[in-house]
Amino acid sequence: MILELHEKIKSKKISALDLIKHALKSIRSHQKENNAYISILDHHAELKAKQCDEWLSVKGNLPNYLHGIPFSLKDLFITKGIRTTAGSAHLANYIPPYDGHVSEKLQSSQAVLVGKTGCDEFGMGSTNENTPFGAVSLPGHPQHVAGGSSGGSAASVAEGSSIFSIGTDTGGSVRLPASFCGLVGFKPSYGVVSRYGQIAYASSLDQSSPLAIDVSDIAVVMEELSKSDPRDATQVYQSKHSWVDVIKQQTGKKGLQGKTIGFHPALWNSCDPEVQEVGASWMKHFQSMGIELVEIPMPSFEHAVATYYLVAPAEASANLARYDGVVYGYRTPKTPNLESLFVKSRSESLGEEVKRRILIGTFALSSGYSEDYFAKASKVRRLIWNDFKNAFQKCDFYFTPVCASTAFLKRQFNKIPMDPLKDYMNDIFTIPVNLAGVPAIALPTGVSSQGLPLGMQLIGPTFSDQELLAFARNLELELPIDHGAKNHWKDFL
Amino acid sequence: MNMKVNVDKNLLKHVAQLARLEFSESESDEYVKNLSNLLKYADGLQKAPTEGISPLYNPVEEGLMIGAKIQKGTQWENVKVSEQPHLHIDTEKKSLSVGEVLSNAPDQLENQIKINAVIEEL
Repeated sequence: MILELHEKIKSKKISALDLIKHALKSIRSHQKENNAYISILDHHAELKAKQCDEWLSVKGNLPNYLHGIPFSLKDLFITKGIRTTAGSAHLANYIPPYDGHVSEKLQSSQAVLVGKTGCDEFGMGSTNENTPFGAVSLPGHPQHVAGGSSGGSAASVAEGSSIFSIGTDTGGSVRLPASFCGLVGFKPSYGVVSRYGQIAYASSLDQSSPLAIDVSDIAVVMEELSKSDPRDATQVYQSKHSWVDVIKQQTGKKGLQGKTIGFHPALWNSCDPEVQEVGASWMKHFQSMGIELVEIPMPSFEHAVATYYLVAPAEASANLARYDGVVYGYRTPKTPNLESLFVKSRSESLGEEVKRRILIGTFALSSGYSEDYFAKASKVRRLIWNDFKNAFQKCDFYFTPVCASTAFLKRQFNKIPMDPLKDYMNDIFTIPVNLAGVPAIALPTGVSSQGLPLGMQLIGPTFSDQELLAFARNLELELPIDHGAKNHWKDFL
Repeated sequence: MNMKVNVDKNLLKHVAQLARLEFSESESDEYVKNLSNLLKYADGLQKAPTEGISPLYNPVEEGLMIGAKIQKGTQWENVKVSEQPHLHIDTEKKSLSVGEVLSNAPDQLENQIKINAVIEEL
């Protein structure tokens, strides 16, 4: 869709200001119900859009596909001079003096930032309810969550107030809300996008990840995100081709024939019947298009949730040690000594789930327990990596659902009492991907009988990101994929 | 092997101290329950066959070689360690000014961050 809009802006059939005004109008009509945004940047956005239009009048050309395109950023991305809260009371008034990689690259491409979106505090959650800034609703379904932790990002695209959004995916935090909101969510391989200026949750798992209406838009955005950045030493891979060229070479059925997709029935048994049905119908489509299906077991997956909920909190406990009330962030008003300044500043401002994960992680790394918990989990992580390595010797991509169900009811509408461990189980299909650092894409499949969107996941080998996107793009052209959110922009297409 | 760590208020207090956190009585009860449930579940990991398996701490350990192989087509495993692909070398670069760094400081005095007295007057 972005490529089409780009042509329209370039030929002056529409202006950047028209698009931004439409986005801001959409924010105004939906913010109360959906709560997608923590900060709305209306003045900033209008000013930028005018600058975009002036550029075109003066220079007569557009340097970038994203020129004038409205987008949102999860409030976990550092933005110079723009409040960045990480969804936490601790950083409620934090105004970064610098730009992170994602903000820098997108803003220099002349894309227009319309707002910073809501998320679970520090990215810790799958419902977007773990934050003092309030839950985010699934657009059109006020009793349901948009998913998390990048729930605001997903809702912003689904409600039509931004054309794409960047979230962070540590254990599924982009793919899950994409699936709940009927969008495409792409987690690149670990090492493709710089993490500089992405507020850290679990450094070996975090990856900046775009959400958009279709696969083509994901590729356009990846062109910017994947740009080289010396400030993150783990950004070790530069793709061979232009991401947009990869998508432009779409071949439809030809690009699908002869490919092999791995799956395993055991992974589907625990899913809601409707999720199983959609999966089965997609697999039938695969076969009819000449894609070979191979049953490949993933024995380590049964340990993925336990592994993740030791490794991620362990890393979080170290990363969040910096929030001590000294250099920036919340400081408790009156304390007798420095030790209690640390303890009270942290205890008064960090949320319940964040504290829970810090406790788990501190325990897993503590003397006497680290060998049995953190070290053991890190070895099981290698088993998960090995399972993927072996699978990709037999197949090109691996197929799973994104989640066993459609969007959850908000806690206030759910009669079952909250159980953190049960919540963690929702991440079973997305977590192994982060533990192994491989790329994965969530694709929308349409809606359930209750009208709730659901998504399917394709996983590829390390650094097969462009092949995976090309394959997903071809699938998107051949399968009855629902791009409902596109309707919000129909007047401009 | 079954770990069966007994999570009680004392253990929670010890861990909270390490993490520089404190809780009310009712919060403590809840966290004891949560931590206990999670560790009981995590004990299932002991069944995973990890004998002779080396830990994977970060996917970049594998990604570095895979990436270089795709980009340069070399079987890096056969190349001398010193010539194998590595993370980029840190180079010195101008950073933020003192004023910018202090722009979010909760309390400051003469271009420095102000905290409670650490050494008491004699």
